[in-house]
Amino acid sequence: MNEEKREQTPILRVDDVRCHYPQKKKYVRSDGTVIRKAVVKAVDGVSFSIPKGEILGVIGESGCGKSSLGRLLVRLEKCTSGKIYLDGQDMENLYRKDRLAFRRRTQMVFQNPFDTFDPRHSIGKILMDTMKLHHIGANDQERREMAIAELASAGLLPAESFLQRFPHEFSGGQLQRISILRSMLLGPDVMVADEPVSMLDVSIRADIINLLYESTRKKNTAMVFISHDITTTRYISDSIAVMYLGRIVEMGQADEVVTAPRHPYTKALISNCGSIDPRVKKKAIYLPGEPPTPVDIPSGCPFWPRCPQATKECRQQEQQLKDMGGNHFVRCSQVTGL
Amino acid sequence: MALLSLQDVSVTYLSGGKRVHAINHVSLDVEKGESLGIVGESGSGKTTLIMAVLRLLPPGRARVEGTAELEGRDLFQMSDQELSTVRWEQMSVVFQKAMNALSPVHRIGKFLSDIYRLHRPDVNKRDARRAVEELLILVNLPPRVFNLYPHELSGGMMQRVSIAMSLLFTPRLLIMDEATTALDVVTQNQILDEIVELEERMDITRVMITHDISVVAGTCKNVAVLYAGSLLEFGPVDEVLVEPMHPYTKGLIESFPTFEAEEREPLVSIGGSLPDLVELPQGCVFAPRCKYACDLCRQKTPEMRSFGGKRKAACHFAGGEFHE
Ligand SMILES: Nc1ncnc2c1ncn2[C@@H]1O[C@H](COP(=O)(O)OP(=O)(O)OP(=O)(O)O)[C@@H](O)[C@H]1O
Ligand SMILES: Nc1ncnc2c1ncn2[C@@H]1O[C@H](COP(=O)(O)OP(=O)(O)OP(=O)(O)O)[C@@H](O)[C@H]1O
Ligand code: SF4
Ligand code: SF4
Ligand SMILES: [Mg+2]
Ligand SMILES: [Mg+2]
Repeated sequence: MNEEKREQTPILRVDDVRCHYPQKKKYVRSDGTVIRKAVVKAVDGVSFSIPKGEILGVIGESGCGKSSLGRLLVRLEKCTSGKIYLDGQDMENLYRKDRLAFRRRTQMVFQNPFDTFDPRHSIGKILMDTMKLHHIGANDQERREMAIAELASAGLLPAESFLQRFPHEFSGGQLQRISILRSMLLGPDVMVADEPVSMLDVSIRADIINLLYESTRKKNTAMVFISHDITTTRYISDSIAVMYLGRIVEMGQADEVVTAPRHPYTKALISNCGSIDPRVKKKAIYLPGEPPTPVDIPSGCPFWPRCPQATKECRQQEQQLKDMGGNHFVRCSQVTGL
Repeated sequence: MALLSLQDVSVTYLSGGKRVHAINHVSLDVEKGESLGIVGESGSGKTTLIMAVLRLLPPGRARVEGTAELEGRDLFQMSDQELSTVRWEQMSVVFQKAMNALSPVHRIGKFLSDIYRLHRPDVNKRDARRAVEELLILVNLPPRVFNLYPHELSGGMMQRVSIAMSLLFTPRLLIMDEATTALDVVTQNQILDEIVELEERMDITRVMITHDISVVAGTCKNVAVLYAGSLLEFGPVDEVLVEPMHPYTKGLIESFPTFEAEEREPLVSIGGSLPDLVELPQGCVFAPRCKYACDLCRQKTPEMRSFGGKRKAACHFAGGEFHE
C-alpha cells in the first residue's frame, strides 16, 4: 500500500481559502430588495491538498470560481483569507521573500495562448529570456540549444526555424504547446492549467492533453487542471473536485466521482455530460430555477434552490465536507459519511 | 421537397488580391424535421457556409456560386425585400456572440416586443409582451429579465435572450452557430431539450454548427463533416458517428476521450493542419494529413458517393474497396 506516501507532506495544501471581490455597484435581488455593499464571493472556503506529481481536476458551472481559485494557487491573486502551503511552507511568505524563486515553483497555462506571449519577440527570444531570468543554462549558446531541444521534443520541427518566428506566425495549438514547454522548463512543483484546450481545435486537443500529462509526470509536477469538459478532465486527472458557488461540494478519485457521483449537483452535472456515441442515451437531471450568483449566496446549503433532493433543513443548515472513506468527500445533508 | 437544398455552393473570399476558397462545391439537403449538425475544425468554412445561405456576406468581398433553395425558392436570387421577410419569419440565426444582436440602450423586453410588433403590426402591446415573456420562460430565464438591460445579464443569460429572439416568429429553419458553446453543460442541455421539444411541436428544423460532437450526437438527426471548405461525409448521426467512412471523420471521433474507456490510452490527434485555402492541394483535400493517402489520392479528387440510405462520403477508399 501507498499509505506511507499519503502521509508525507502534500506538495500543495489549501486551507479554507476565500477570494472575495468587493463591488462598486449595488445588487438588486429578483424580489426587489437591495444589497448595498455587494461582494462577489468567487471562492468561499476551499480546502484540499495534492500529493507530489498528482493531477487534480476542477469542474463546475460557469462562474463557480474555478479560475479565481486557479489564480490564488499561483499567487496571481491574494487570498482574502485562508492559507496555501507549498511543500509545507506558507505560500504568502515564499512569495514575499523571493518572487522569482516562487515563480519557478508555480506556473500557470491559460486558456488563450495568443494572450500569453509578447507579440514583439520571437519564440526563441521568449524561451531564452525565461531561461536566463531563472539562471538556466550557462550561456546563450547553451540556452539556444536547450530551446531547440525543447521545441523538437514537442514535435515543432524544424526547431531552428521555429526559433525565429513570432507568436502570430504560429497556430493556437502550436502556441499552447510552447506555453506548456516554457512553464515546464522551470520544473515547477505546481502547475495550474485553466481551460488549456477550450480555445483549440478538436483535432489538436489530444496533443496538448498528452503533452501536459507526459511533461508533468516526467518532472513529478502536481497539476490543477480546470475545465468545462468533464470527459477530458476525467481522462487526465487522478482526482476531481466539483465546485458550486465558490465551494467544493464533492471530491474524490476521478473515476469514482464521474461514474458514481454522490452529491446532487455532481449527479446533475455528470448526467448532462453527453457522449459522442449516439447509441448512449442518458437521462439528464433537470435543474430548475435561475443559475445562482456569487453575490447573493443562498443560506444553508447554497444548492437548495435548485436541488431535487432539498429538504427544509437544507435551507438553514450549512454543510461540511464529509469523509466517505477512500478519499471521497461530499458536502450534503442527504449523504451520510463514515 | 427538402426544406433547404444546397447545390454546388462555393464561396471565394477576395482578400488582399488573393482568392480564399472557403467553400468548395458543397451540395446537401436539409429535410423537414431532420435537424443537421455541421462539424469540422476551426477554419473549415462552417460559418462561411451559413453566412452565404443567409446572404450576410459582403458582395464585394465574397463571391458566392451555386444555388440555395429554401422551400423551393433560391435564396441567392431573391430581392432584398423578399429576403428580409424570409430572414425573420422563415429562417433565423443565433451566433456565438449574442451581445451584437441586442441593443445596449433598450430593456430586453421592450426590444424584443418592438421587433415582434414591427413584423406583426396588428398585435397589441399586451399580447406582444405575453409572447416575449413566454419565450423567456422557454429559454429558462426568470421574468425579471424582461426589465433588465443587456449589461445586467451574464454571458449565458444574454445567449439565452438571443435564442429567444430567434424563436420570435417560429421560423421553419433555425440556424445556430456555436450558440450554446459558452454555456455550461447543464444550462446548454436544458435549453437544447427545450428547443428539440419545440421543434417537434412547432415544426422547426435546426441546423447547428458546433465543435462539440456530443451535442450533435445527442440532438441532431444528420451530420455533415466539413473540411477545408469541402463536404467530406454526410449521413444519419447514429451511422456516421458509430461507423465513420471517411478517414477525417474517424480521426475527429478518435481524438475525443470517451466516458466508456477503461484504460488511459493515449489520445490520438490528427497530425498536421488545414491546407492553405488560397492554394488548395491537388487531389483529395485531406491527403496531406491522411494516413491512407496514396499517389492517386494526391492526383484525383474523390467524388462524393452514395452508400445507401442517406450516407455519402468523399474518399477513394470509402465503402471498403478502392474506388477510382
Ligand atoms: N476581478 C474580478 N472582479 C469581480 N468579480 C470577478 C472577478 N473575477 C471573477 N469575478 C466573478 O467571480 C465569479 C467567479 O468567476 P471565475 O472566473 O472564477 O469563474 P469560473 O468558474 O472560472 O467560470 P468559467 O467557467 O466561466 O471560466 C464570477 O461571478 C465572476 O463574474
Ligand atoms: N472576410 C474574409 N476574408 C478572407 N478570408 C476569410 C474571411 N472570413 C473567413 N475567411 C477564411 O475562410 C475560412 C473559413 O472561415 P470560417 O469562419 O467559415 O470557418 P469556421 O469553420 O466557421 O471556423 P470556426 O470554427 O473557427 O468558427 C478560414 O480560412 C478563414 O480564415
Ligand atoms: S444539502 Fe440539501 S440542498 Fe444541499 S445538496 Fe444536499 S440535499 Fe441538496
Ligand atoms: S481519398 Fe485518399 S487521401 Fe483522401 S481521405 Fe481517402 S484515403 Fe485519405
Ligand atoms: Mg474560468
Ligand atoms: Mg465559425
